[in-house]
Amino acid sequence: MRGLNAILYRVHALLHRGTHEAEMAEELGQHLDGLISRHLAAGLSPADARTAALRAFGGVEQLKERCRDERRFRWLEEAGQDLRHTLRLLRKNPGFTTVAVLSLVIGIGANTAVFSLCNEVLLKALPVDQPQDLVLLRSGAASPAASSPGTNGDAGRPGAASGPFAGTTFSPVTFAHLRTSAADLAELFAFAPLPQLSVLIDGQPEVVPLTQLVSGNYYAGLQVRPALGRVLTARDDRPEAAPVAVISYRYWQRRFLRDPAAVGKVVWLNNAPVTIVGVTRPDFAGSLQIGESPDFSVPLAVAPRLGVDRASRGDPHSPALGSLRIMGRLAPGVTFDQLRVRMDERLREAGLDAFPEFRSQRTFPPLVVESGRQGLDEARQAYRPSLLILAGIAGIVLLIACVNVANLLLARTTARRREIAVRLALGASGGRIIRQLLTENLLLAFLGAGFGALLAWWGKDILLSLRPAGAGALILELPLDWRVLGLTTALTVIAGLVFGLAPAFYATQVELKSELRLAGAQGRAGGVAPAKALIVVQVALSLVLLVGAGLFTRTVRNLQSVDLGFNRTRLLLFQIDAVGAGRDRDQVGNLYRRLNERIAHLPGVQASTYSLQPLLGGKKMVAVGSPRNPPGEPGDRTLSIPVELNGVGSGFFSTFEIPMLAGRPFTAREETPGADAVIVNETLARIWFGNENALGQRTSWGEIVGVVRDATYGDLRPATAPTAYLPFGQAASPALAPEAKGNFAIRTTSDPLTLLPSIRRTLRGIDPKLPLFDVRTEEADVDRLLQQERLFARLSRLFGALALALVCVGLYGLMSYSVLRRKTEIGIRLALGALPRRVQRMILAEALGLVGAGLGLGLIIATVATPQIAALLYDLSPYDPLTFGGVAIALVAIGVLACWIPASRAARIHAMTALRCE
Amino acid sequence: MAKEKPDLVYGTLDMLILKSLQHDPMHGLGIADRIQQMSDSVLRVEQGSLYPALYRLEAEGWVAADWGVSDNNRRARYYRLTSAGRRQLAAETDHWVRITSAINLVLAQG
Repeated sequence: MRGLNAILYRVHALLHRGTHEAEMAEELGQHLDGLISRHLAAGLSPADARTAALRAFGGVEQLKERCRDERRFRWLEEAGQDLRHTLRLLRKNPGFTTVAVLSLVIGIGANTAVFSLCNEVLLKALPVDQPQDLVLLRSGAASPAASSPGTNGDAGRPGAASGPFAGTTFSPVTFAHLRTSAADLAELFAFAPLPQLSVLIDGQPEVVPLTQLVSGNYYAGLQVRPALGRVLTARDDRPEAAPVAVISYRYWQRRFLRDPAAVGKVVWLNNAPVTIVGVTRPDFAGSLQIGESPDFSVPLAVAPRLGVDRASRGDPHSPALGSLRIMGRLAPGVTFDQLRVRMDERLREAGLDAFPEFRSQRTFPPLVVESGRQGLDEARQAYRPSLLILAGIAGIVLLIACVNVANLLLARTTARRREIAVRLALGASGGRIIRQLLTENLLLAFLGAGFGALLAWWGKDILLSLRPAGAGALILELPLDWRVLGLTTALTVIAGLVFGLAPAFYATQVELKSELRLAGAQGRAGGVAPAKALIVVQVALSLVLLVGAGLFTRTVRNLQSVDLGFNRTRLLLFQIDAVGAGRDRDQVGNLYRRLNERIAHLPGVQASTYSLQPLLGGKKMVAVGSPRNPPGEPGDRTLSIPVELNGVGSGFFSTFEIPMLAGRPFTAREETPGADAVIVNETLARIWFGNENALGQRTSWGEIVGVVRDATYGDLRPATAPTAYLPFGQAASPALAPEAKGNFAIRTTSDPLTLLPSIRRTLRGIDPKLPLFDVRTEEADVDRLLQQERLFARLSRLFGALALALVCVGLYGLMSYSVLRRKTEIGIRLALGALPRRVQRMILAEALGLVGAGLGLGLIIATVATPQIAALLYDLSPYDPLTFGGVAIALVAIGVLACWIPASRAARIHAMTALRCE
Repeated sequence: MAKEKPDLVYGTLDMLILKSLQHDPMHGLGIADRIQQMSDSVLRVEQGSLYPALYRLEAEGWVAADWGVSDNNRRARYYRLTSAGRRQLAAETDHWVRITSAINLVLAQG
């Protein structure tokens, strides 16, 4: 009751502020008058009486302040006052306000944008109920014809990213087995991405880049509800069921303009009629890799109708269906470990023979049960290092912004010491002044955060378009959710306190008398120490950024000059997906060959070829092979290694200008299926045959007819993988390459892109409905692979330069102030016979001492930080002495430059003028 | 004026003010005088402490203030004890007596 009473009293006092203020003044005045009249009565003169009364009374204003403390919600009222005062101050100093807010906008905006990306990619769970109950299954098995885990050459490419991790996939047989054995512990469901489905809606053809096959219980297991219509159920996933599909909200919006009539519509997928039964919710993008959002989801049972396993005709271990990913939802109370142990047992009971993908192995690969809260997370994990580096750069930028604002505030506080001294004299407490200054800082911080959030909102799309996460574009919606806003707010408050507290505290350490007497012109020595510390920190942070910039720049240069093993100039690339477009699989090789022959005869074409895999940036095809095996028998098991395969059309090596080291290229006869010839690269020849002649040797894929020089394949960085080239017709078999895409490469005599119209005409002449995909030049492809390194180089250079400019300005300001302050001292030195040159050197030495301390600190931070980016560097040590040395020298040079003017000004001080000033 | 130590024992000012208001409402100066007088001029209340304390007591609801006319015919703010203030005074007095007698007991030990 009493507490409430006090609150009501204060609220009343707050509301009737004016009356209370007047009453208090009257009451205190009355008290004073009482004292005066008492003194008068004692016989003092009126003046003396008044003085005596006032002396007894003490400071009237201070007393009023203390009374106000008792009467109202001081903090609330004062916060309002502080805010108004702050706004007035900021308006009065637009230069200061702009620079300070701008620094914070950049710092907070960059962090918010980067964090919203990190949040989406690394932190967020699938938008389903209880995502923590979801599990993801993996096995260590590497089935033949699927790429082995760890060779994820191109994680960022949409549509391809689910492929490179095929080592963690399961066949339908295994899925069925696991599902029944885990039935009481978890609901297991399976899905598989399907790239490039041809879709025909109302007679309009279109290629949908990513779709997926799902088991019937996929939506039930994830617990996803539809936005419209219904989701797929177990009944849809039977061979005799009518073929149905669920579309994504995004596709519904884009293709059907959110027309509810889309549900129930019959569309043709790869020439098979399928009924759309539902639309998923807008926030649900499936459970594939981050950035992959399948627009159509069809039951596994519909797969044969789509022709995606047409070649296998009922073989459950067909390649398309062989790469199922399995996730599950645990029953309440079941742990990951229980599920793993149970399934391991059941697998062993069933025996190896029950599972096609394990048949060739002695034991079962270990089954791994991981958290499935993010769906497939391999791509997310692949993005992690880049995102952490981005976050690191953004963090340093924020620190620099804070240091910069702290510096500005410190300078301003120094200039405001007189104002503060006056306010202290008028009865303000130290705490009150600090609160006022903190209000200013927090207001600055929130202004920065407000604009920073806007910058982030607008800048995150730029961030995405810069492809921060690797070679491929990442298409993401980045909503500003509570995590992002929370982080921004926390950053803001922390930043406001960090950059503001020290100057604020320092400001209240004012000695009233000296400050008021000295008329503020000559500050005291105290103001310089914190400023010096800030300069040291600034130099250190700039060094870290500049070292990063140097390392990334040198890496880009190193990668650009990498010998790819082929000539990358004037090459036009494009892709044709004849199987995906519904052409007869057996005719595909023929089609590509005819197209290639016609293109080769076009004017402006120097040479032309096609292959299963593009040379750079493609998904890899890896198979285990061995040498020295007579036809039909297993070869030398000890030399059995994974080999990268490519199927190449005629003229491949001459078009790419990959030199033949021995033997010959494929002949036209060898292009037809059933041929028995293979060409290997140097690396594979060396591994298998050492110094022996490789020509004529038998391998898993045929007889070696040629050895070519190593050419980079996939990424720019790794050592060249052992590679075998097969004739296209032989490699494009259903087992090895079910998709059988044709990746064309045309060497032109002039700008490659000018040839495109005539190539399109040629294609129409052969097959009018076949589309060209992915048209680009080889040089653009190489650049694309360098995008990430370029981005880091560009960002760290930009921010490094910014930091350097701030250091320059800060150092100049500090040294100018220091010279001004030491004017008298310098005057005495000169009067006593010091040479101007020595004075100049003295000032320079002081500045360089600061720079040196900053360099030392920066080097320590940098040596800790650079090993974190070692994986992204190429042909370069993270402690690259050239970079470190260059940056250090540059910083020293900048330091000298920034202090040259103040130092020479010091040397020009006239002894007599300086001394007379005192 | 004698330079006597004017400090009050810490925390007793509220109690003294309540006590001085026990019989009649008084204005600020009157309260200060009353305390001085009741203590044989040993205790002197500084204005710097008096008014914040009065406002605090008012906020707690132990005293209430009304405008009245002082002896020299001027408007003055008169403070009076509320019933809650009376209870508070009794409680504080009781507490004080217990503490001081305990302290005396300690000091009396040889």
